Amino acid sequence: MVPVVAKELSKIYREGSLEVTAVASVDLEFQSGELIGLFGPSGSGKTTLLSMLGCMLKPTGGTLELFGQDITSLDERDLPAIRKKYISFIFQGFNLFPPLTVYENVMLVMNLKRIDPMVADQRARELLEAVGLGKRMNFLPRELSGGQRQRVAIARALAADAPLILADEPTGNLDHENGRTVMEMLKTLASEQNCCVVVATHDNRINDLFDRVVCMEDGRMLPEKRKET
Amino acid sequence: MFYIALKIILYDKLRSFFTLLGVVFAVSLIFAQVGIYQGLMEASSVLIDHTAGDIWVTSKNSKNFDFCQPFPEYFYYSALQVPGVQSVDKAIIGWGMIRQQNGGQEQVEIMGYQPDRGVGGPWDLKEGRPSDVKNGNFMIVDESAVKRLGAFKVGDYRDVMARRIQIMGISRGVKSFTTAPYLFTSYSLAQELVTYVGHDNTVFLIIKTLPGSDKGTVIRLLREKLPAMDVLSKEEFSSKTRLYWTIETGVGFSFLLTIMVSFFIGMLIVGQTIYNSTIEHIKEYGTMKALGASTAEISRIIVSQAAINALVGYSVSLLVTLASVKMYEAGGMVMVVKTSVNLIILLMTMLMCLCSAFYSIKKIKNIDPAILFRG
Ligand SMILES: Nc1ncnc2c1ncn2[C@@H]1O[C@H](COP(=O)(O)OP(=O)(O)O)[C@@H](O)[C@H]1O
Ligand SMILES: [Mg+2]
Repeated sequence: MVPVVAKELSKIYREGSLEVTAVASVDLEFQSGELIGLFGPSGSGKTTLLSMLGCMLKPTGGTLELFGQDITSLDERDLPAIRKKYISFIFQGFNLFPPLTVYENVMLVMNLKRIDPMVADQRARELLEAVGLGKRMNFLPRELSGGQRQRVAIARALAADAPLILADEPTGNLDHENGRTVMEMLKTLASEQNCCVVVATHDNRINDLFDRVVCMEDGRMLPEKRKET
Repeated sequence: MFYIALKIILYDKLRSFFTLLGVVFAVSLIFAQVGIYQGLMEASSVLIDHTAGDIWVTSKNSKNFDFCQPFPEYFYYSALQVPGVQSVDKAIIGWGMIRQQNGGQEQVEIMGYQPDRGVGGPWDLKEGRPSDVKNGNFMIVDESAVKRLGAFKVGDYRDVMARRIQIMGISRGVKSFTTAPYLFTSYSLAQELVTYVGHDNTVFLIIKTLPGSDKGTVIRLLREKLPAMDVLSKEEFSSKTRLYWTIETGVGFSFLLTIMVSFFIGMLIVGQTIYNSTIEHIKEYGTMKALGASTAEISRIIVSQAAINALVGYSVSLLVTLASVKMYEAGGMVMVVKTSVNLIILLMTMLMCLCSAFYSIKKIKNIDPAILFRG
């Protein structure tokens, strides 16, 4: 099944009489195993688009299908279940729970998904080991560097075991080297776990890693240039 | 989710400490108010509750135990004839004055009972026996009267209504609501001392029913037989007395007001801490939502925080209260701590804390996804 199919997807923010068209009639189709770069200058609608793909924001027009399921017609109450099943997020600001340790932050997601605690424990350890934080499992987020925190967030996104991973400026708060490490992890994720990974960014330094690059400007999708392999 | 709530509370120790302090303050105040109120109420009906009698006959429309009017003794015989009545005892309550050793006067309540029967007399004696007040100018005084009367011991004399009366015994646990000390005398002496009672009159008939007889039926028959009297079961008379003092004196209202104010203050303190904490962690809660948590699941974290605050705050308050019971006693107050009431206060504390989580949950429900994406 195709992870993401959007047709004429749009979002208009209304604030009083003011209308802002953040996403205007976007058509897209993302496949599993792809690392997709969503490029565009600040304010071009990347975050808004990701929010809609992640079922966090209701589109004002068009249709969205995730894994063959029509999302636009669903009720608000059904969305948590969809997110739980299909979607994981990585944020620019990491969004880790400060009072919880690295390990507990990762466990929390699996707890939400009612994964057996024994299995979850095993998995959390493996994932943190994999992102190079095996020795820092009991650290609090504030005791880690930005790059390490983002790696925790990646471990968390992986723990969710979701087939669609949406990352919004994941390298935005990281230096070049850390940013690259993080992107390489996401690339491995897409190719090895056969996930669909969408990365919204305006960081041109990591351009070369993407399987596919789509560009936005003023809420519109620019004609796509496929990468030659 | 409970675990996460605990972690959040432990993370910000200073804030949690002050919240706890707020809860303890509010709940301890509720405990103290309820305890003192109960102490006062127990005092107001102490003689009814400790007297072995199922039914009390008083003058018509008497307001409470302390303000009953005399009525002719011969009703005693009418009561005795009612089927189901095992025994009838006469007793007198009346107001009098006692002269202190230094010459001052104090008001006292005189309780007259039949010394051979003991019904209406003291039940817990430090010194002497109930029958010691028989045939003479004798009385038994409660140990709590020492504050009003000055130090006294068995064998001392005091002037009550201008009569020299000897102290024959000292009772325990008979503290009056009106603060006028109770003096126990023989029935016949009470008739003389309380001049408005006089010979041939009594104030109470205290009735015991036959084993196996239906109390309700006996009360009904007594009411038919004595239409000019009030016939009340022990429980009715006790609660009538308590209710009188609660309402007529306004103590009930004042206690209720303090309890309610404490409740709302506690609610505000917990509410505003939880709200602040929610706002502080809103991004993380939003992230949980983005990862598939429903509002209900996240609310459980918030509610758990409230519940932890409630439970810990309550427990500390209970300890504080138990520790201060002795302090209250030293100050001449009686504070009653009862399990059933404690449970009600626990529920109140829970309610207080859970209500306070309301706005935070509303906030969770309407998280703006945009905040998640801010760097
Ligand atoms: N919650 C909102 N309310 C109103 N306007 C918004 C809101 N979020 C974003 N916008 C507007 O929508 C446009 C696209 O924003 P955004 O999706 O954040 O772009 P990007 O992520 O590419 O920087 C911008 O003009 C922004 O001001
Ligand atoms: Mg953005």
